[in-house]
Amino acid sequence: MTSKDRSSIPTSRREFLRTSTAAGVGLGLGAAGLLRSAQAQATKTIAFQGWAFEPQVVEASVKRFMAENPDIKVIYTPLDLQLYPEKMVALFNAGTQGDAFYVRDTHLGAWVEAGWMQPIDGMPGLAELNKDIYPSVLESLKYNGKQYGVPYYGDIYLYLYDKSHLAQAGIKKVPSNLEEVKNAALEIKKANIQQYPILKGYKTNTDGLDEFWSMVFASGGHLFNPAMDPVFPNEDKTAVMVLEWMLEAMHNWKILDPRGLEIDETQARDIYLSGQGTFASNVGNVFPRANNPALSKRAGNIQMMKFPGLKSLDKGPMGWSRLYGMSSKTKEKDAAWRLLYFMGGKDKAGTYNVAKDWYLKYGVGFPFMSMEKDPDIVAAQKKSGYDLDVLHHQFKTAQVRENVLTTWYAEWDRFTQQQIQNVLLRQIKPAEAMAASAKKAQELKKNA
Amino acid sequence: MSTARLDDGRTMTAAANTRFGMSRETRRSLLPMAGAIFFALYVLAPFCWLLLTSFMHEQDALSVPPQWIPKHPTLSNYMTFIDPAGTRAIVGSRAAEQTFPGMVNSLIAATATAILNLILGTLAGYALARYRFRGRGGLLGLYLGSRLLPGIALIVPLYLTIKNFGLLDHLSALIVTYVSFTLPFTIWLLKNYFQTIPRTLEEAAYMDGATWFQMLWRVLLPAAFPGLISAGMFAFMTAWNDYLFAVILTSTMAAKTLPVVVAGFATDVTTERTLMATSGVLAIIPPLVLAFVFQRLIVQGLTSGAVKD
Amino acid sequence: MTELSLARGFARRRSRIGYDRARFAWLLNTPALVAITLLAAYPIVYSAWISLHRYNLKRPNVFRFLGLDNYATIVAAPEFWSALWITVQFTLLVVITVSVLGVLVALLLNQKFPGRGIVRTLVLLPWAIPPVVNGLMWQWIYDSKIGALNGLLVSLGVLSEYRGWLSEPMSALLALAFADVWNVLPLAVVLLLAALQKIPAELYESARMDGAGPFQLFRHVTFPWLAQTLLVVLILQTLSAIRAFDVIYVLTAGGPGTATTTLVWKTYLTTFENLDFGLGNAYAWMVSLITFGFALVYFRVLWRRGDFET
Repeated sequence: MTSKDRSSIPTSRREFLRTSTAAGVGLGLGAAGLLRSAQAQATKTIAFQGWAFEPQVVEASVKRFMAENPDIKVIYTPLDLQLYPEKMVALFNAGTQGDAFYVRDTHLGAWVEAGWMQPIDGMPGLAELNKDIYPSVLESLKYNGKQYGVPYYGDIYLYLYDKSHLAQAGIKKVPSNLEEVKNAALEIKKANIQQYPILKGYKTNTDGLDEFWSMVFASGGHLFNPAMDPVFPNEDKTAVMVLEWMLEAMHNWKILDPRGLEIDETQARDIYLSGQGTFASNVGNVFPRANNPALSKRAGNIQMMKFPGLKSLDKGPMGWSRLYGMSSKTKEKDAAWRLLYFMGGKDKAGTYNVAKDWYLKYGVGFPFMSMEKDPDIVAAQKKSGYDLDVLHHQFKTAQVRENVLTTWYAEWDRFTQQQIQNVLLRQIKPAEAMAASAKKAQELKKNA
Repeated sequence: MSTARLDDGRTMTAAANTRFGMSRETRRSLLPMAGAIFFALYVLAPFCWLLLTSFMHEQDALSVPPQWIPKHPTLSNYMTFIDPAGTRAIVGSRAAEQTFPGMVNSLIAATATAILNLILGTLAGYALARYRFRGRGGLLGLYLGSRLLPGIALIVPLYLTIKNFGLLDHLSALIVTYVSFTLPFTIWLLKNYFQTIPRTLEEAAYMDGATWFQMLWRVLLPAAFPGLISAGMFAFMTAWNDYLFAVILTSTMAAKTLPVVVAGFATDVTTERTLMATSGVLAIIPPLVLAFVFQRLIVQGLTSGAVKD
Repeated sequence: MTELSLARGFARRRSRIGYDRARFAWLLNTPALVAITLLAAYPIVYSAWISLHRYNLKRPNVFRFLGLDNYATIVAAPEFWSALWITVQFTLLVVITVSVLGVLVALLLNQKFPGRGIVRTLVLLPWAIPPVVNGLMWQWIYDSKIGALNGLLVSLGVLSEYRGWLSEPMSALLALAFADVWNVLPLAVVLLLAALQKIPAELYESARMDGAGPFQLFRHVTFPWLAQTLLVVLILQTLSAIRAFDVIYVLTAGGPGTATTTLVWKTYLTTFENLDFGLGNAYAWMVSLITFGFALVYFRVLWRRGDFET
């Protein structure tokens, strides 16, 4: 400031300037002092790894966390999505894994048994958080009675239909079980609306049994007892009956597209959205996409129904989750916990800000029940065309795959997918396939 | 007027050689040209799909029947790579902005791999080609034998090795890994190639007073130029294309190569097909440019009298 | 000096040269040896060691020496033989097609014709496409609902309706092989072309003057010269075919059923999905053995032919 400026400014303002400058300087010094003491407090640095789904969103969340927690520095590294588990295996083996990382529920058992994760029971704020988590999601966070993570997201498998097709075929009642689905599909086929009204991808994939599990659950059936022994094919005949329905649908009634054998879920989704098929089942976040005119050729026509089983029961579909977990070797347990609490729970203001962000941006399922009432979320869901009663019902009654936490789940899942494919290729009969799958489960359990 | 030599040694003038208004040379090249066209179609047809998709909007890319000529062609996919922040893509803006840096990393890694291969491979290849010594066969066997185990089994211990060298997430880690993969074959290729060059060339050089190195640099290598290029190309492309090891050994853009970046367009929620196709089109440009340059050099190298005796 | 001592003198000089030459040869090999062993030695030894143990990452504290039990388990499992059969089929399909096509194309590109430079450049195109993009490209081409192949064949009238290329076992294997061939052909062409360019023109001239036609030219002039390079190509292509991973990962994931589950795919699943490192590494060594077997056959057939130390 030149002397000229100073002299031309009225006294009161000069006073203000002087005091505010002094205050500013004081604050500055104070802040520097704080900073120094914070540094003297030793900023904790933690490494955070996840698969690279929209890493810029995660980075923004991490930035917000660091703003709320200036004494923690987080180094976030997005890892390649395709080979995430393999890469984590290499990292664990070499000891370069992060303090916190994403975990898939299908790997939780294996990673805990390998000694890579530590339980978070009793960490501050966890009990409160747990009260608000959907039961199926909460169950998938635990292994052998201990909890190992907080939810990244939780979602369910949906059964979708195109209401315009049903209207065109004169079907007034939305199907509520597989028999009604079959009849509706036959009507639609007869009316030449679709050659194959049911579209489903059966290509082998890591955990590709979602529809199968959902149909079994919705029918009130079980695949495994609490001791992880298979109760199929004989004790509980649901599995075989479901598979028989699928086989008939594909080759006898010809309502299930046989080319589904070469497409996976994502391809099936894209094909469904481009207008083929009436009924489809897929992951929860497909729904908002299906009714988004920028992405779907049938926006506005897609609706979800309660997942159909052999009978109309009040049972939900299969649900799953992904978690944020903590390394067993972390040296900053407290800092890592605070990061987990922020990402998989609440921020300082007490809102589920990360979960809400994911949901509003990408339709990634939220794991907290109270979010159902959040007005932003309700507005977004109404815009996407959800029948909120059906949606909430399905989430609340969703069930966790019974043996998903065993260390042999992935192998059994893949083997069973192959058996199902062989059934649909008409190489073996459903009863044989289920017997082989049960035998495999018993073998794997014995050798585990 | 060109003269052509008939098989029995007689000479005829071009005028007499012309039939159907074409010279003998053009006629001779008709069959190869037809073959070349078929081959070019074979190479280009699957790629065409990629190229066309890169000019489409996402929904058009999925339509049935497939659109051969995009109904609503757009340059927006290419624009995404130039201005990733302005993308309308649902996912993949991160991958878009990483594409060019990834390409640079790939170029560096692949070029370094090729050069190291040529240097080390020439030395070892020459030794195996020209000298008979105890352990010669065993050495070649050792080189090739090191390549029998599939890469999947090597990932985890290799990761540990690289970590112990402190090279994780460094381009140099990729380079040394790629060199160890490709060198055995480069050595073998160059050994074979050197063996086709007559020793008389070398002996002539020695008689002119050249040292071993001068002989190598001035006589042998120029004569072996096509072999060097093909070995270099093999090393370059192997490094350029690797996905498995790049994914495991790198984590950030400090070292991520193009295949890893491009894989980021496919997530478990969505695959931005149009963006991925565009990235594929962009990815082939550097190797094709290099190939064009080098195949010209080969032609020149051949006609500059390398093997005339 | 007597003749005997002269002769002895010569002999001594020759052996001294021989000794120096060996040292020089080893010296020339040292950088390469270092580069390769530094990075290959530990993983190979590690892999072999683990394959002799029971070691599953899900039970990391169990590390029991099993001797050859893992190998016995593999050989006793029908899935191994199924995977082996599929691997052999796939490999033969790809290697034979690539070798034949490779020779033909290399011969083609060795001829002079206008536009040769462009076609030679185009050869690299399939090789230059990144693996994931390549896999997805073929997925879109083969797609049963929106794929280009179906579209093309239907519009040409060859097919009456769209069909699923990847949903039937045999068709899936062929489709995979076709995609892989397209991918790896450039390598064969590049190597064979480089070898063809070295064949001295006089050999062709003198053979032609002896009245040889194109087939005889190929059999007596071209093929012997190509034999060594063809051996390299065969081995490289076999290695690549046995290890084919990306196309399987994207196109079929080993299915439908187990129709395209090759040995390497099985290795991948065992090691990374089941986290069974002991068994997985044993699988990897089985793959090595089989590759070695193929290589031995090739060497037998091609090593002696066209051996020309100039």
